Amino acid sequence: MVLAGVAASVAAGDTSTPVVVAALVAAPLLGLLLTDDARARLLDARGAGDVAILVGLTLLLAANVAVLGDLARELGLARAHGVAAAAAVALLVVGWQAGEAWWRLATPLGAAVVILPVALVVAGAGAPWTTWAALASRPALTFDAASAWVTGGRAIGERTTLTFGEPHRMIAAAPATWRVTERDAARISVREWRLGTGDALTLRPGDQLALERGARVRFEAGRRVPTAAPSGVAWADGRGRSTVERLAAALGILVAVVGGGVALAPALAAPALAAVVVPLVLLTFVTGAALWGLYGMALAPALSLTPRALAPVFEALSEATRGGWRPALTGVVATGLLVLLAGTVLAWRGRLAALVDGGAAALGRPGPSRAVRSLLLGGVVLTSAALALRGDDPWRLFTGGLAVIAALAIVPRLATPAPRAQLAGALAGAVAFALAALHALPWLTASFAAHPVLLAAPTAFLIARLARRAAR
Amino acid sequence: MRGSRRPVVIFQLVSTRAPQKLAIVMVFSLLAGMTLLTMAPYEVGTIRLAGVSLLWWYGLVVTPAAAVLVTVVALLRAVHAPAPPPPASPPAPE
Repeated sequence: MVLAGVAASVAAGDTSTPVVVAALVAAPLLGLLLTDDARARLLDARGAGDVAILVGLTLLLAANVAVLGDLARELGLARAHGVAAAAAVALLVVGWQAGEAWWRLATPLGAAVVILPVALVVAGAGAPWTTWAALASRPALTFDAASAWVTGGRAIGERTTLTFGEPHRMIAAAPATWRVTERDAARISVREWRLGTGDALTLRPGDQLALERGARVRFEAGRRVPTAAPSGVAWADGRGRSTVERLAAALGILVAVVGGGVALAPALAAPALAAVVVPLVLLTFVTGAALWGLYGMALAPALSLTPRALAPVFEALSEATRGGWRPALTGVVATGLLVLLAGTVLAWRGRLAALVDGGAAALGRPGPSRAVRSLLLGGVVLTSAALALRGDDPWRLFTGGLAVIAALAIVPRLATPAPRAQLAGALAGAVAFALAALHALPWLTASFAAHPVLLAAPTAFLIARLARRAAR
Repeated sequence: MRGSRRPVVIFQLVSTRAPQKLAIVMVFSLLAGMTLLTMAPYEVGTIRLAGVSLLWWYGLVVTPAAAVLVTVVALLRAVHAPAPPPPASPPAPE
C-alpha cells in the first residue's frame, strides 16, 4: 500500500506529497526509537483503544488487499480475482505458522523485487532531479504521439467525465454512445452521439464528455491530458489550494500516519544489525516508491486516465521497456507485490495476535488456542477482503485505518494512563471522527471531512484529560 | 556547594535511553520544519534549487535521510551503551 500510495501521490503532483513521504519514513522510525516504558504505555493491549486498533488493522489490510485488486485489473483480470488471491495469501500466512521463517524473508525480498526494476527506468530516463526539473518545466502535460491512447486507443478504467480546456479531436476505438455537455454563454445543452469505430468528435474548450467504464477511445497527439495538471509548473507546485487547506492536509496526514504508524512498528529483535538495516530498507523502499511515481508521470502523463493504485508503476514500466522484457518485468513486479503482501500480513498478524491475547488477559482468561486464534484472524482477513471488494480508494482505507488508531487508541493513552478516562476519550473521539467524516457538522470545512483525525484527535485528548480530572 | 546537604556528584548519571529521546525530538523537529515550509509565506517552498523545489528536496530527500541517520546513530548508541548496574541488594544479615 505504501508503494501504491506514494507513487500515486507523486504522480498526481499533490501538494501534500512531500509530507506523505516524510511521514511514511518517520513513523516507523519513531516506533523503533520508543523506549520500553513508552512502548508499554502506548502499545500494550488494554481497554477501549484495542477496539480502535482492531478496526484500524482491518482497514489497513483491506487497503493492501484492494491494491492487489487493482493489480489484477492492471493485468487484465477482474478486481475480484486480485482480492481473492490477496485473501488467499493472507489466510496462508495466518494459518501456516510453520512457515514463519520464510514469511520473515518476505518483506525485504518483496521490497527488493518491486523496487529494483525502477533502477532500469532511471538508467534509461535520466537522474531523478533532472527528470523532475524537466517535468516541472513543461508548458503542458500532453499526449505523446507514440502513446497507446493515441495510436490504437485504450479503454477507460472507470466511468468518468472529462473536461476539456482546449479543442480536442477524439476518436472512438469501439462503437459507443458518448454524452457531451456543451457550455455556451447562453445555455447548457447535453447531446448524445452514437459513434462507430473510427468516428471522430471534436470537443471545444469547456465541453464535458461522459464516458462509461470500458469505453475505448483515442486522443489527439500533442493535446493536453484532460485529467492531468494543466502544466508542469502546476504539477510541481500543486493545484490551487489555500494556505489553510495545505496546513490542514499536512497536519491530517502527519497525525494519522505518525500516530498510527508508531503503533505498528515492531520492536527490533536483533538490535545491532537491525538498527542499521531496517531504517535503510525503509528509506530505500519509500524513495523507490516515489521514483516510480515520478517516472510514471514523466514518461506517461496520461496515466491519470487510469485511476488505479499501481498505474504509475506499470505505466512507467510499460514506457521504459520494450519487446519481451515488458511482460517479464511486469510479472516480476506483480510477483514481488504478492510476496510483499505476505510480509505485510506477517507483521499485521503479530499485532493482531497480541491484541487477541491482551483481550483474553483483560477478561481474566488464558490466551486462545492456536486453532481458535487462526479462526479469529481468518475472520478479520475475510472482513478486510469484503471491504476491499467494495472498490473504495485504497489510500483512503489506509489513511483511515491509521487515523482511527492514532486518534482513538494512541492519543487517549498519551493524554492519561487511567483506563476509564481513556475509554471516555476514545468514545468522544469516535463520535467526532464519525461526525467529521460524514460532514455532519455544517460549520466544519471540507478539510475536516477529508481528514477526520483533525477533529477526533484533539477531542479524544481533551475528553480523556477532563475525565481524568473529574475522577480525582 | 559548601553547606549543601546534597551529595557532591562528580559523574552525572545519564540514561542509556537519552540518545533515543533526543532522536525522537529531532525527528519531530524535522517534521515540524516540513509543516512550516508547507505554509511558509510567499510560496517559499516552491523556490527551485538545482531545478527541484525546496519543498520536494526537504520532504523527499532531507527529512527521510536525516531521520534515518539520526535513528541509526541513536539505536547503535543505545545498543552499545553499557548495561545499567544491577539493583543494589540489601546487606546480608550477619
